[in-house]
Amino acid sequence: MKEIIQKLTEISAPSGRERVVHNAILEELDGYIDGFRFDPVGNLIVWKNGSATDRKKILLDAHADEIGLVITRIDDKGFLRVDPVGGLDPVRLLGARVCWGNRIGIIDVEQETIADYRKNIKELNYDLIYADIGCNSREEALQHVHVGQFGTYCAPFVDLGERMVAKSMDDRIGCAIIVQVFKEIGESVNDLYGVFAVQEEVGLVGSQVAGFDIHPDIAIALDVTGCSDTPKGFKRMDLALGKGPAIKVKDRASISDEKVVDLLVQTADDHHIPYQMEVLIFGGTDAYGYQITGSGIKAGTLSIVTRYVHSPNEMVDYSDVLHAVQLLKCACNKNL
Amino acid sequence: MMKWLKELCALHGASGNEHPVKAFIRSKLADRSDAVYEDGIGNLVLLRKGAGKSAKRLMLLAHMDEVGLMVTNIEEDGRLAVMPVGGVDPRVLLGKPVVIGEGEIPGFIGYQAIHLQKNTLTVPPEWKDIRVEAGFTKKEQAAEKIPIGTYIHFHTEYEEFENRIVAKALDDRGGCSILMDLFEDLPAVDYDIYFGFVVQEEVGLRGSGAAAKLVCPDVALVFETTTAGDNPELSPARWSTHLDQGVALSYLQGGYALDSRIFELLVDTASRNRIPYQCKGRTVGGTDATRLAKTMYGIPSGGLNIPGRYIHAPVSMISKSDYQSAVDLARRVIAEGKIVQIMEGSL
Amino acid sequence: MAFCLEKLLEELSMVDGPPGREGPVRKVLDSYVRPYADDVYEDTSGNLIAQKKGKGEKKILVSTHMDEVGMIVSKVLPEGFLRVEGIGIDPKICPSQKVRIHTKQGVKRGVIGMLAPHLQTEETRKLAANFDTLFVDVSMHPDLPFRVGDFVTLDSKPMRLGKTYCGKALDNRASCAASVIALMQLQKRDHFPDLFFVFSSREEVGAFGACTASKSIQPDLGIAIDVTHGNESVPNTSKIELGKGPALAFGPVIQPALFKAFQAVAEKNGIAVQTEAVPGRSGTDADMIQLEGIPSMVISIPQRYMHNPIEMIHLKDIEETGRLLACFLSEWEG
Repeated sequence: MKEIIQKLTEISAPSGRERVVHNAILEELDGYIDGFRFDPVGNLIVWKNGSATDRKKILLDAHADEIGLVITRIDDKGFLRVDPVGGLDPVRLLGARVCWGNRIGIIDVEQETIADYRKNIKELNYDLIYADIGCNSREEALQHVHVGQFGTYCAPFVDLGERMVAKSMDDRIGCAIIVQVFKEIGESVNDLYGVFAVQEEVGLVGSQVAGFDIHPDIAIALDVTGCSDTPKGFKRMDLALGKGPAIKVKDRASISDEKVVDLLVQTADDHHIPYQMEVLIFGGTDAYGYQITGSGIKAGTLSIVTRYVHSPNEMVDYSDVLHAVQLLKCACNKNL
Repeated sequence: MMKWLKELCALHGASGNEHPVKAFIRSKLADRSDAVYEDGIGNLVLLRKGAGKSAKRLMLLAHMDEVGLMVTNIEEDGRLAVMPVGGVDPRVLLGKPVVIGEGEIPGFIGYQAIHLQKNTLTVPPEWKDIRVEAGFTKKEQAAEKIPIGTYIHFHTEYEEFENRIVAKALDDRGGCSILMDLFEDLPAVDYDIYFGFVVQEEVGLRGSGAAAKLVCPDVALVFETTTAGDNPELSPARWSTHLDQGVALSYLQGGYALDSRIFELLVDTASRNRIPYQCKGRTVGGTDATRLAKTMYGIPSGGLNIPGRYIHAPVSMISKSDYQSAVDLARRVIAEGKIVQIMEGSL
Repeated sequence: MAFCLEKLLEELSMVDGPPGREGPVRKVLDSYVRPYADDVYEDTSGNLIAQKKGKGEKKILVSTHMDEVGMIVSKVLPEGFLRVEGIGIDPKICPSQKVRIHTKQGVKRGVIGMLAPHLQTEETRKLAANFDTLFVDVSMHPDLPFRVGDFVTLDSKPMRLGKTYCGKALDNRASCAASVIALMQLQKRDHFPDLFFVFSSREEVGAFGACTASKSIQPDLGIAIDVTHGNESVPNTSKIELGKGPALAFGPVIQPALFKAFQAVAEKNGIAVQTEAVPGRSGTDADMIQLEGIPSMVISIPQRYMHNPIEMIHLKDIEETGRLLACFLSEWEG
C-alpha cells in the first residue's frame, strides 16, 4: 500500500481545491467500482453493489482535503501574507517549506529587534508571519502566484519501514485505506459507498451533505487521531503507534454510535485483529456530518494513531494501516 | 440605483424581528414576482422565472436582520438592562439614541459622567454597565409599557454624501438593496432566479438554510456588507477591504472555502468587464454561504461584498461606487449565464 | 396505579444515560409512556418517540432531551486510577465525588479524590480542579475491568427538600417528566394535531437527536422543554425564580406568535408563567429544530445548580409545565 500512500500524500490539495486528489483516487479505483459521481459541493462518491439479498448499505468516508495556506496579500517587495486554511498552527510554519503550485515559499516571523522576536514567537499569530517565495517585487511575485491562491506544506513521503512520514496523512491515509478496501474486498456482501469528502478541515462541510441521497445503514469515517506515546505526551489520553487501528468512542465533534463501536470491536475480536479504544480530547471527524444527515445515520470513526498531526511530517505505523484495511473488509462483509 | 436603500436602513428589524423589513420588500416586489415563498420563521423568497429553456435555479441572497439589543430585565430605577442581539461591542453604545419596541419609544444609553469616574476612567464598559434610559423612574412604570424581550434598535439618520452613505444597518440592508435594484432591472435569461431575503444571519446563519429548502437552488450568490478595517489605527496589511476599491470578492471565510468555480467566474467576469473589484484580505467571519454549502444536497455558493466601515454599530459607512460595482458585477454574471453551468465544469 | 411525580423523578434521576448511551433512560421512559401513546419507537438517532394520533393533518413535535452530563474514561492507569474527559461537567464539582463507571462487566463504583488539606501547600490551595489533574480512584477493583471509552456518571442520590426535588440529571429528566405528565393528561382530552413526544438523544453535545427528529418528522411546529437558570443572580439576564411557574422564552429562536399563544393558554388556564429574554441561541433542542425552518417555542423549568451532582427543581414547576403543555396541545387548532 505504500505506493498509493505516497502518491496521495504528495498531492497538494487543501480544502476547496480537492479535485486533483479525486482524480488520482478515481485512477486507482478504475475497475474496482460500479460507479461514481461528484455532488454539487464536490464530494467524490463511489460505490460497489453488494450481492446478498438482505444486503445493507455501508458508507466509508475519508476527507480528501488537507490543511493549507491561502495568499491574502502580496506586498511591494514580493513578500506574501497568508491566512490558514483549516487548523494550521502558525508555530508549525516557522522554518517550514510550503508551496503554491510549483513555487516554494519559506515562512518566517517579523522581528525588528531580538526582544521583538522572542515576544512574537511566544504569541505567534498570522499577522506576524509572512512567506518568502524568492521574488523582489510584487510584479515578479505575480508571475508565480496570485492573491487567493491556495497552497500547502511541501514535504515528501518518507518510508522508514515500520513507520511512514508524510504531510497530509490527515487524511490521505484514510483515503488510501478506503481505496485498498475497495480493491481487496472482491465480491461484496453489502452495498459499499466510498465518500472522499471535501472541506473537512474548515468545518466538516462535505460530510454534512454527502449522505443526503444515500441513506446508508451505517457510516464509518476513516481519519487520523492524536497520540500520547511521545516524550511527555498527553497524560490523559492513551493512543500509541503500532497498537492497531483506534476505535473511536468520543472526540469534540461527536460520540460514536454504540452499534458502530460494537460492530468494529466484535469484528476485531472475532478475527483477532489488534485495536485500541479511543477518546480524543480535541478535534472532530466527518462522522459528525453523517450523524446529523436526514433522519440520522448511525456513524462512528476508525482512526489511525498519528504523531505530529497538522505538521509537515505526520507519522503513522504501517501495521496499523494494514490492520485497519483488514478490519474494515471483515466488518463490511458482515451480515449487519 | 439604491432605489430603496434609505428606506431599508430606516426600518427596525433586528434578528428575530425582521417582519417590518419583510413587509416592506414584499410590498414593493411581490406583485411583480412569478411566485412568493414564505416559511414559518420569517424568510421571504421571490421568483423571477426565466424564459423557460433552462431548469437551472440561481438563488441571490441577502439577510434582512440587523444587530440590535433586547430588554432582558427592568431595574428598580426604571432603566432597562439589555443584552445584544448579534455581535455588538458595548463600547459603541455609550450615549447613543435608540428606539424601543414596536411603538418606537425613544430612549438612549446613558453612561456615568466623566466627572464622577474616579477609578473607571480607563475601564471599558461591559454589558452590566449598559442601561437604556427611557424616562421611567420606577420599575412598575417601565414594566407596564415594555415587556421583557422587547427589541431595541439603533436610531441613526440616513445621510448621503457624494460618494458615501452613512447609516445604520448597512449590514445587510446594503445587500437587500442590491437584490431589489437587480430585481428592478433584471437581465432577460432562460433560467430561474430566486431572490432570497433571509432572517437571523447575525445570530448564527439561522434563516438561509430554511429559505433554500423552499426553492432548492442549484447555486447561490450571497450579498453582504462586509468589514473594511481601513482606518488609521490598523495597518494596511491588516485591512480586510478598502472603500472605493470596488466590490469585494471572497475565496475563504469562516467554515467554508467558497466554491472555486464561482470565485474564478466572478474574478474573470469583473476583469473582462472592467468592473472594479478587490479580494477580501481577511478570512475570518462567516456568511450565509457557509450555511448553504451544508444544506440538503450541498449548494455551492459565492460571495459579493460591499466594504463597510464600523459595521455592527449605530453609525456605519459604505462607498457608493463600491455598491455600484457590486450591482454591475452581479448584473453581468446573471446576464452571461455561466453561473448556472458551473456544475458541468470541473472544480 | 396512581401516578407519583416523586417516584418518576427518583427513577429518572437514578438511571444513567450520558450522551449517546441513553439506553437505560429509554427503558424507563418507555414503561411510563407506552400506556398513553399510540406508538412508541426508537429511531436511528437513539431518540425515543411516543406518537399520539390526532384528528387533523398537522403535527407538533415536543422535544425533551434525556441525556445527562457525565464523563468518559480516556486512560486507565495500572496503579488503579482512571483519567477522564468531561462531557458538560464543571471539573470543580468533581473532587470527593462518587461516580459510576459503565463497563462491559457491569457498573463499577469509583471515587474522585483530592489531596487532603494536610498535604496541600499555599500554591496548591489556589488551584481549581481541571480534567488534566483529576483522577478517578478505582483501586477497589484490582482486576481493573476498565477500558478507554467507558462512560462515567455521577453517583448521587436524589432527595426531597421542602417543595423542591434535588438530584442529578434533573437537567433534563425533569422536562421528560413534564412530557409524561402532559401525555397522561391528554388521555382525557382531544387534540387536533398528531403529537410526537421526542425524548431526544445527545442534546448536551450538540442537540443531535432533535436535529434529526425534526428532519424526519417535519412538524408544523416544535416545542423544546429544557431547564433554565433559576434563583441565580447573573447581571443583565431575566430574573427567573423557582416556584413561580414555567418560563416562556422570547427571542429570535422563538416564533413570536407561538410565544403569545402560550401566554394566552397560560392565562386562560390559570397557570403562572415567567418570561425569559433569549437574545440569541437558546442552548436547547429548539436551536436545531428552528434551523429546519420550523416555528419553535422554548419552555423552561427553573433550576438551580445546573450540571451539578445535585440540581434543584420546584415540584410545582414541573407539574405546571406538564399542565401548560397539555392545555396548549389540546387547544391548538392550527
